[in-house]
Amino acid sequence: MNLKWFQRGIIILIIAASLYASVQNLLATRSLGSVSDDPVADWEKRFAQIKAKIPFERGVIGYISDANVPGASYDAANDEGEYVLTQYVLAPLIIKRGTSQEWNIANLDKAAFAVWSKTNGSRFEVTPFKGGLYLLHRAGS
Amino acid sequence: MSFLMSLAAFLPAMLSGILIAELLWDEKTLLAVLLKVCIGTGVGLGLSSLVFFLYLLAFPGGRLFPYIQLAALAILIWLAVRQGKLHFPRVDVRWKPGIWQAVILVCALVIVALAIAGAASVWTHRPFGTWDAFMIYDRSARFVYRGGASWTQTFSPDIDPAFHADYPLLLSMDIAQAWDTLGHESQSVPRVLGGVFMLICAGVFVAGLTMLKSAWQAAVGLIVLMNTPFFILSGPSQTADVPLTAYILSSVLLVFLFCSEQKPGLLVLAGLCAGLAAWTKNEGDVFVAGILAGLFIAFLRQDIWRRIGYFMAGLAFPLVIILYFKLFLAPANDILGTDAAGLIQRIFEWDRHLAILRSFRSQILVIGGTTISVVLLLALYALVFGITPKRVHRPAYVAVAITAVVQAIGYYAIYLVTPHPIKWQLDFSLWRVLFHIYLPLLFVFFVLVTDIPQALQLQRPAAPAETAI
Repeated sequence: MNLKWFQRGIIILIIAASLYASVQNLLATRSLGSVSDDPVADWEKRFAQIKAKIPFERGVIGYISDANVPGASYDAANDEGEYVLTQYVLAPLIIKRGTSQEWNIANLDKAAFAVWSKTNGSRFEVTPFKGGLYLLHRAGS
Repeated sequence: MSFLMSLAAFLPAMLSGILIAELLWDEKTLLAVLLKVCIGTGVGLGLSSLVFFLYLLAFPGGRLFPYIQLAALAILIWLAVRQGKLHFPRVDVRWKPGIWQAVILVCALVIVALAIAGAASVWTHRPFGTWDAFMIYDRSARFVYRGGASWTQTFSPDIDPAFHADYPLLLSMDIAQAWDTLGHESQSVPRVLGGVFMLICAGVFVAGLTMLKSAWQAAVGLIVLMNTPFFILSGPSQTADVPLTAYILSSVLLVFLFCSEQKPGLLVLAGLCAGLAAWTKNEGDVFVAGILAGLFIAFLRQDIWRRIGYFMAGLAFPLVIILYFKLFLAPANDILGTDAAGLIQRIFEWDRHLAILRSFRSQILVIGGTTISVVLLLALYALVFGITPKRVHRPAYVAVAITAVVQAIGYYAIYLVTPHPIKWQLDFSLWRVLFHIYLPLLFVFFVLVTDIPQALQLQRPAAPAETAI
């Protein structure tokens, strides 16, 4: 008889724990941020113009960011995240770090672009876009 | 509307899979039909992904795949009609719930509703899923869909290893083929796919437990499953962990059913699901190795070669394609493709062993991300209810136990040799990969413990209890 009550008790315990956890799970989704925040969709919009100006649809394109500019301040996690987002929005183009390709994208803030431009600007034709994006075409290619 | 269109794009694949399950497993009860719908949906999506891959290899940039899918569906319908397989299920419902059953059922429904609300909230907050979803699976799908005749650029060695271009293609191919059918890219497609795999997981879990035990046992199992934060958060996040677990769970359940019914088609389906697990994620390879070892030992004295042959018959098609993909297309893996000397050095770093063991221990206690330790709760449950394993399921218990051990050892070995910072790798992924082992073991746990109606004597058992092991 006692065992039966223990068994019923454990079922109640499991149900209560699960109800509590389910409510917690639901509330936890609020921490995912605002419904209107969508970094991926924002990135798609940010790259729409520069994407249209890249003269090929497949192949490899170079990519530099603040992390590639000596002395520029940047957040490593954000920098990596922006690189991932860039590859995602520009697929099927392959994004390769560095400026060794004929065509390259620079994702630089104003100060970082000024520094980069002093030492490298002469080697590229630079087309600026909104939001700190630059399309770089190797001069003489 | 775009959700419905996305679902419609998957419909031919899902229906084909259900018909394949019907052709391989001749069982007409309502539960069996429900199970075939759940397992068959996964089988259809997996096979469609494999065939689309072959189609693109043969016809790069080809746009006729939707017609091939419809033709395949028509052939399967014709086969099913010819063999008399299309029928209404035999409904045999005896619905006399007592107060305890009603309480369990109502609570299960409330918890399912909360879980659906949680999943919907994740969908709304993260339409593109988590980082893994868009950087690995959706990115690859874009290369395939947008790449046209150059779709194999998705395997280019120029792609940064961070994008895991060597990962198997089940999700990417399914997403790309649905976009192909729709004629445009829609973010609803990966979201619907994630939702379908969540439903498969829950459906196989519940229908399987109802078939092997009782509806009440299944309801309590579902209550535990639905409070697993990982399941609620990861399923709608469009990563591959829930689809992989769905295939693993299907394979495990089919081995149990084979032990009860001895129908070869069940083992063929189990092998197929295991192969599709390996086509979903690299961790599926570890599962295939584990289940093969497990079945070999479990059936050692029971017509072993015939049974392994049935399993291999299902496994062969996905396995051949995975081997081709790994040998001829996929770039080197970021973990195993590193230098051998560094790899051997890491094996003898004892601090790594300690870090991995500590992480395993702490994650197992809160497996699935639960706030209350499910492991401790279930241990208490087993203590109070007792276990009543059926002799007929003995090979399945052996096979699943060996599989889980092989999976745990395999995951341990991967953490040991990874060139990435060990703490980052453990923190980032251990809780996810343990779910692949946890869910099948949770299922087996509820098969193993005494049935609730039997324990509480809520209803007279339909048949005399079978001899315990």
